[in-house]
Formats: sequence, C-alpha cells, structure tokens
Amino acid sequence: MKHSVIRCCSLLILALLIAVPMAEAKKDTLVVAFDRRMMTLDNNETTDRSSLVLYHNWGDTLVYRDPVKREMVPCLAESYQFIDPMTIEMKLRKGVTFHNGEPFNAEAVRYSMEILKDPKTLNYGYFKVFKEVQVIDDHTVRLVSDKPNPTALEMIANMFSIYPPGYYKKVGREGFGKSPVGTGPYQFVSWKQDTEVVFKAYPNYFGGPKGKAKIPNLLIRIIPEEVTRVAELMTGGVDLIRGGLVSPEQIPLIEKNPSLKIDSDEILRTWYITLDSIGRSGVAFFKDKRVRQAVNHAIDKDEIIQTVLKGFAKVTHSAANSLHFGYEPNLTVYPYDPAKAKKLLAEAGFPNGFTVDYYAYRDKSVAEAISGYLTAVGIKTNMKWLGGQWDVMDKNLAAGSIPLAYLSWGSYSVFDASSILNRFFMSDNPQCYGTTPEVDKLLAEANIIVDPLKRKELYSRAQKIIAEEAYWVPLYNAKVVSAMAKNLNFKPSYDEIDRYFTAAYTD
Amino acid sequence: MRTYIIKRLLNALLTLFLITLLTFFFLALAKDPARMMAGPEASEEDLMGIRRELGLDRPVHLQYLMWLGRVVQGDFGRSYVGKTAAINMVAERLPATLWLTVTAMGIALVLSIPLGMIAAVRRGSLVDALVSALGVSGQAMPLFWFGIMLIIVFGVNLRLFPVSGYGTPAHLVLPAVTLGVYTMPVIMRLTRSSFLDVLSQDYIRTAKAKGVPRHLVLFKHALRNAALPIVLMVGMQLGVLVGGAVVTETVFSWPGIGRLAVDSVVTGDFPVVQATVMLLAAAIMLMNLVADIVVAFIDPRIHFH
Amino acid sequence: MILLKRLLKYKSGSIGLLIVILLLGTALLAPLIAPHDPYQQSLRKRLTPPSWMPGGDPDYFLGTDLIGRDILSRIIYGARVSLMVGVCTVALAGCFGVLLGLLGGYYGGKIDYWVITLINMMWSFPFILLALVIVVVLGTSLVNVIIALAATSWVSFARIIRGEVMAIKAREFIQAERALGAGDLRIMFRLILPNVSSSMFVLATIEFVRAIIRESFMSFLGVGVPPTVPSWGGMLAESRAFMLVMWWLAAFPGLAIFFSALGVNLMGDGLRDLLDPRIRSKA
Repeated sequence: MKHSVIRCCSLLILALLIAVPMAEAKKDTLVVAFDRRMMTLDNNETTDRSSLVLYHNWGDTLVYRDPVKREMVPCLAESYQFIDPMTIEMKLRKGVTFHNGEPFNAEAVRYSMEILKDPKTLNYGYFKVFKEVQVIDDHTVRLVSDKPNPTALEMIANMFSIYPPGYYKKVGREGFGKSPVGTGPYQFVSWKQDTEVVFKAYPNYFGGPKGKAKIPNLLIRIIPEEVTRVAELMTGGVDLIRGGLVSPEQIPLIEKNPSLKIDSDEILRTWYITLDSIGRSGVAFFKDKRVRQAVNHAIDKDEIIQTVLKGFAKVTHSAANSLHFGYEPNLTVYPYDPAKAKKLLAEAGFPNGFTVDYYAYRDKSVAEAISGYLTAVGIKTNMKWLGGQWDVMDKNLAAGSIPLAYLSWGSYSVFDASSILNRFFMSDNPQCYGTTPEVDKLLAEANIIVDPLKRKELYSRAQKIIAEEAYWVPLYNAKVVSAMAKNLNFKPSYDEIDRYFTAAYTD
Repeated sequence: MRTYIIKRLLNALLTLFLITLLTFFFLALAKDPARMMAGPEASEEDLMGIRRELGLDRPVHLQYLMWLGRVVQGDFGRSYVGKTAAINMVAERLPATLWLTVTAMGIALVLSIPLGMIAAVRRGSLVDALVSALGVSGQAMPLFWFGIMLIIVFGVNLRLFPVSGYGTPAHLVLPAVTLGVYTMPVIMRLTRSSFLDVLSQDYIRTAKAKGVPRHLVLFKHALRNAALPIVLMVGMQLGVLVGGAVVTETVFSWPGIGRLAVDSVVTGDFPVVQATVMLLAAAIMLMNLVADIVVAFIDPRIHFH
Repeated sequence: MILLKRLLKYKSGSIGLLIVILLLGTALLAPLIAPHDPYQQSLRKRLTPPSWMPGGDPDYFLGTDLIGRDILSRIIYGARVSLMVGVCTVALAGCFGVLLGLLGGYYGGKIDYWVITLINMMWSFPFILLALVIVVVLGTSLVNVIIALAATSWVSFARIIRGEVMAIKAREFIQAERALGAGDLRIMFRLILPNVSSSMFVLATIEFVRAIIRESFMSFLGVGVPPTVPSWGGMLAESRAFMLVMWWLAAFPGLAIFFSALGVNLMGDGLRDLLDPRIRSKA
C-alpha cells in the first residue's frame, strides 16, 4: 500500500517536472492551427484549401493578387501584356531561384504548365482552356489559350503553381507532394501528416510584391477539435487559427482575453442551399418550381445572420458573390414568409409537406437552423451531418446523390462569376443540379469573350434566370474570422488565402 | 498441455481467417471503390478502367482470394486519398498509438490494482465505498468530455501540461490519463473481486494463522494468485483500450492509428481502413492468445474454454 | 416483488433503482413535463444561460442551445432517445448473444467451437471502429446506430451465458429431466434459461450503460444519431466545442448521461450482490 502511494506521488512529481519547460515562449516562430490532415502539399493534386493556402506561402505565381490594394500585380513575372484575347506575353523576373537553387526561368513556366496539362494531374480540368506556354527566350514566355480566356489572369494568380523542373522530374509527382520546392517566401522543412508542417523563411527570397517573410519560422499544427484549437490559442500553443476555423460563438471568449484578438474580412465564399431540381438523386419534390420557391420563402436569412453569425455576414440573393466580377444585385427576392411557403407547398400538392434527406458538412448551427425553418413549413429533414468532410460532400455531389444540402463555395479565390456559375449551372458539370438551356448558352458564351461589359451583361442575365427559377437558396456572404495572439500583426485576406509571410510580432 | 496450445493456435488461425472475411466483404462490397478512387470528374469509362485495374470486374470470391494473397505479403493496396501504401500509413502512426495505449494501461494498472486491493482488504469500509463510487463514475463518464475537462483544468487554467500535440513526455500526460481513467474501472472491479476470492481461500487463512506478516500475505501470496484473472482481463480490455484511443487521439490531436482509422472510414479510404482494422484485430487477438497460453502455463487447470 | 424488496435493502441499489424509475418516468411523461417543444428553435433566444445566471431567462431553466431550443426539454426528450438506444441495443444484443451462448454451452462440440471462434473474432475488433464502419456503410440514423451498437455488444452476453450454461447443464436436475425424456428445446429454454436469467439482468445493466456511453462516442466522431434528434450524446458532442465559453451547454447533457449511467450501474450492482456476486467482474 505504502509503495503504491509513494509510486503515485513520485509519478506526479515527475510529471510536474516535465511540465515546467513548456512555459518558454518562442517568438521566432509563427504557429498556425489548421483543422485536418492534408493529403498532399502539391496544390495541383488536391482541391483542399489548406494546401492552396500553404502553396501561396512556399510558392509564387506569375501574377499576384495584392490583398491590401485588391489588385493584380506582377510577381514572378516582371510585366505582362495581352497580345490578343488568347495570348499573354510575360517578361519573367531575373535572378530568382527555387529553394533548391534551381533557376527560375521560361523553362520552369513551360514545364509547370505541362504538369497541369497532364490528364494524370487531379486539377488538370481547370487548365483545359490553356493550350501551351511558348518559350520566347530564357525570360520571356507567352501563355496561349484555345479560346479567348477572360479569367486567364485570375487562374494564373491563384492556381498556376510554378515548380522546378529538375527537382520535379527527380522526385516525381508523389515525391513532390511530400516535399515541395518552390520560390516563395517560406521554404518547406518537414511534414508529419497528422501533426505538423514546418517551414522556414527562404533567405534568398527576391521580395517582390509579397515581401520577405517577417517571422523566421512557420509551424502549421493540425488540430481537429475546435475546443482544443481555442485552448491552444489561449495558452500560447498556437498564435493564430486559420480563418474560418473559429465559430462566432467563441468570439466573446477571445475578446475577453487580454492576450488575444480577432480580425475579420469579407471573403469570396457564398453560402447557399442547393435543391435537386432535375431529380438526379431520385427525389422529385424539387422538380416543381413552387416547392423550390417555398424553400426560399421558408428561410429567414436576416435572423440567421444577426443571431448565429453575429453580423459577420451579409444577405445575398444571387448565386454569385458580391466580390465577383459580374455580380448582379437586382434579382428576384424571396422574402421570409412561412405562410406563403406553406401555400406554395399546398399548391404543388404537398399540403402536409414531405420528408427529405438533408446534407450539411460545416457551420452546424446554421445547418440545424435551416432544418428548423424547413420543419416549420412542413418539410421534415433527415439530417446527414458530414462533420467537416468537404471531400466526402464533394464526391456525393458529383455522384448526383444529394437532394438537398447546405453548402458553401469559395470560388477557388477566382474573382469572376464564372468560377461559381460554371461549376454549378453548366449542364455538363457533375455538380449541376438544375439549369436551363439558356443559362447554359449564356455561360458558355461569357467564357470565351473578353469584353467586360458584354460579359457582365451575360452573367447578369444568367443570374436573373437562376434566381427566377429558384434553383438555389442563396443565403449569405460571410466574413472570415481569424483569432490570434494580441501581439501578432496579421490581417486575414479577402481571397481566403492567409499570407503568413506578412505576419509580424509587435513586441 | 501441448494439445491445448495447438488447439488454441489453430483456433487463432481460424479466427484470423474470419477476421479477413469480415474486413474484406463488409468494406469492399459496401461501396464502389472505383468511385472513391476516381476524382469527382471521372467518367464511366475511367471507372471501368479502374475496376479492371483493381480486378473489381471479377467474381467476388476471386477478388477476395487476390486480396488475401496480397495481404499475406503485407500489401493492403494503396490509400485512395494518401496515394501511398496503406500499410506504410498505418506503420508510421503505430508508435504514437503504442506510446499512448501502453502508458494509459500502465496508469490504469498502477491506479486500479492498489485501489482494488485496498477495497478488498477493507471490504465494506468507507474506502471500499469510495473506490466503488470512483469505479462507477469512471464508467459513467464520456471519455471525450473527461479529456476536454482535463484540457481546461490542467492545460488552460493551471497551465501544467500542453493542451495537445505530440513529441515530449509532457504531451503524453493528459491523453494517457484520459485513456487510463477510462480503462481503470473494469480492472479495479476485477482486482477487488479476485482479491476477495483469494483472501477467503484456505491457504491464506492458514498463512495468516501461522503468523506470516500481513504485507507478505497480501503481496506474495494473494497478489500472485489474484494476478491470473487480472492478466486475462488486461488482454480482454485491449479492444476497449484501442476503441478509447480513437476518441482520445482526436481530442488531443494525437497522431495515432485511431485518428487515421476515423479519417479513413469517413473519407471511404478502404485500403487504409482494412489495414488498420486487420492489424489491430490481429494484434489484439495475438495478445489474448499469449495471455491465454501464459495463464495455461501458470495454471494448468484451465482448459480450452 | 421479493427481488425488489431485497434490492431495497441495499442502499446503493435502491438509489440506483430510484434513478432508473425517475429516468423511465421522464421518458414516458416527456410531453407532459417538458416546458417547451424540444424541436422548436428560436434563434433570437439562442445560447441563453440557465435561468439563475446573469442573462438567464426564467422561461428556460437550463438555458437554450445553439439554435435556441430549450435545453431542459431536449434533455427530457433525450431520455426517450437514450433509453431507446440502450434498451434496443440490449434487447437485440441480448437475444442474439444469449441464443449463441445457450447453443454453444448446451450442445458443446462443433457448435460450441464456432461460437467460441465467433466470440474471439468479435472480441478482437475495437468496437468503435466496427460501429463507425457499420454506420458509414449503412448511413446515419437512429436505427443504424442501434444496429452498430448491438453488433458490438452481443459478445459479452454470449461469452458469459455460455459459461453459465455449461455449469448448469451438468447439474442433477437437468440430467433428471433429460432422463424423463425432455427435449433439447425444452431443457434449454424452460429449464436452463430461467437459471441464467439473473446473469442476463446484470449483463443487461452493464451493456445498457455501455450503449449510452458509446452512443455519445459515435456522436463525437460524427456518426451518431442525426443532430436534430435530441439525444444526450449528440447534445454533449455538439456543445463540446464551446466548453470554454459556455460550460452549461455540455454540462447538463453530460450530467444526464452520468446520472442515468450511475443509476443503472448502481441498480446492476445491487442486483449482482443479490443474485450472483461473481458475475459482474467477468463482464
């Protein structure tokens, strides 16, 4: 008995001794909390935003979106000009090297496009419209598209990852995803899939519009539980939680804490409810326009924004986001009117409502609130909660098995209405659950002309039809909320791509 | 004795075979792996291609035999999402889970055996009541809630231990205590009842009557005899322990097999699920086999039961 | 009745019984005692603290949840769901497990060998992984959660009952009945089954508590009962992210789980002391 008491005590003392050193604060490292493991660090091989965010920290793009000035500026390119609607000529920056010492040049750009044009690459679909990269000389390239390509610059600024040809050939596609090399302000050090990704500042970084990394080390920690993330932030275990990974409910706690703060910015993400209006999922209710209108009338968007989202969002009536080029604000509006919703349901032949499967994968409070609103007008939901698993949701959407879902789409940070309308309202896309031939035609046309006024007109007409047909319930455009240590100087970005290289400690 | 061990081994092989059957059929037939492997943009032709490549167009029993053939060589196929060999993904995470479960089991044993002994020796006393209250509440407490409470109290308020993460012994404390406390009640109860059993045996009474010192009676005679059921119970608790590890690893961002398994089940990454389930089941079965054989050696009265 | 009287002699057992009766009463009378509709949301009143705390609303004794539903009413209705999960799981698992245990223990030989092998196999699977796979494959719903829980909890029944049956089978009165020409079925179900019923009861209480706790694990991992259905495990899992901000959100469903588990456990302990002091430690 005595022995065990002694043993317990000594164990406790030992544990306390071990616990002491953790109080040391290191200010040369920025620790950021992410929510789940990444499958690859190769931005070409995943649709996961985590990998995209990290790419813009360890890699560069030819042109760069400046989140403060909100404009495109040359980055790895020194200058660019449109020779014709299908061709951009770029002068490349000289003296830039990849982290492994390989020079950045025209061949690197050509080879990087070759990777993206390879059907084996997961994201090759996005670059179908680009035909090739022509090498004019060692530091001049021409990016040629098949058709006039109005969003070419957007695509280049977001997703055209520039990889070193020599290294990529050596390690191969999978090797690159595990240990990437780019030109960016941070360089990759190590990756443990379930725990952390480590980066350090690249000493030879050319600066450019992004500037050198201000904090010498960057540590990404994977923390799936929200309460654990917040607890880590409160105890200094992390300095920043990636935007969107803190619920608005946590804000009072963080604001109350003298060593923490929050910051927010409007982002390109649109939250909406999708309705299967062509019966792909085998559920026929939403084929009737009146049922879709009823769902639109059933939801009180203002109440959701004021209460659940604490004002960190604004109402939208369009499928496109207000930050998109081509956004149309004047559309059919379905005000909150449960009585009208019930009437429309009765007219459609469902006076007692119906029961339907309902999917959601993030923002559980809103997801449940929507279910409550629908129940109130007679639409009972079997809620299928996919707990943060976007890829599962995405696969199910593509497979056509989703009758009703609460979703969000960040438009790949492409500030053009095509990035959301094409994906969900062009009939040849697997994510499409309802469109008209006219919308199809309008969108196809807008894809291949460059005249901004004309495109705006086409998108406006498309959005009007989409709203009139009530294919979606567009809900709101939310702001991104980032929680961080008070002494950290960091701004979340309106394209939802955190720039960790701009972060700095104030003391 | 020898026939018992041979019988037990043959049974273990049969069990293993059944485990492979269950693992394979339940998963492989439940969902279309080709669809899971292909990207969202894949066409029906792509899917057919993948099916051919994986042999999914063949009869089910042939698929199983092919799969079994590869599994025997340690090849569970490639992860659909991780794009690496499933077995490697599991192997990378094995040490973290081992650390966690072994430490937790250690904590559980260190706490529960003395407590169970005290409760048995002082049967009916206040201590006994307290111990049984502890056991009952331990079982009535959802593991993740307890883990988060530990984070709040010892991580956030007292700042004694890191909230989450992996790497130093300090990181191990909170998750291991969480899991240990989860495993403790059953072992504690068993210790108490086996001790009560043993203490009422004639030879203990004889020893006491002969004036053998009390601590010698307890530690030398009683503990040795009560140890057998405890060893067996520890073996049987492994499944529960690993199940608890799944939850604990998520709460504390612990990079072990449990989290991998949950992630893989949810994303439909079946090769990894199969590898994890197979290996865990096989490991637990082997441990139980060893426990059985050890006990059979110590106490040959035990038959194949 | 005699059993009940004797159970009341044990202090802890009677406390357990009291809690269980309270639990049953709550579940049965839920519509009468719940102050609000457990599904009725009111976003403007969401996250109201309990009525005795600053900012509390006397209408909502335990406060409101993430979308403004009354927590007290959800806990009261949650008793139905949790009881259903517990009882159905135990009933399903109990029937299957006891049947296998009876067959294996009674017939012995080849049948017993297969029963043992099945038990060994199931015992090797970590329950939560198996349950997770079952729900992911079948889809999330209350019924599938119960199926998943039952699929993992029949093993204890089979294992213990088999052992008991083997012991009873050898006893004289069984041999005597057999000599009188009683059939296997009659011996198994009319003679042996009543003799193992005490173990069955005790096991049922243990497995009931396990089912409730495991249901909360499944909610935690995102494969529990659908979030709109008021279940204690679901409520606890849903509010765990806010335990640092609003402790009451998780505290009350947690306490509900704790007390009902405690009650059933204590009652089971009392039963064990009454019926068979050895059984509990084996499960």
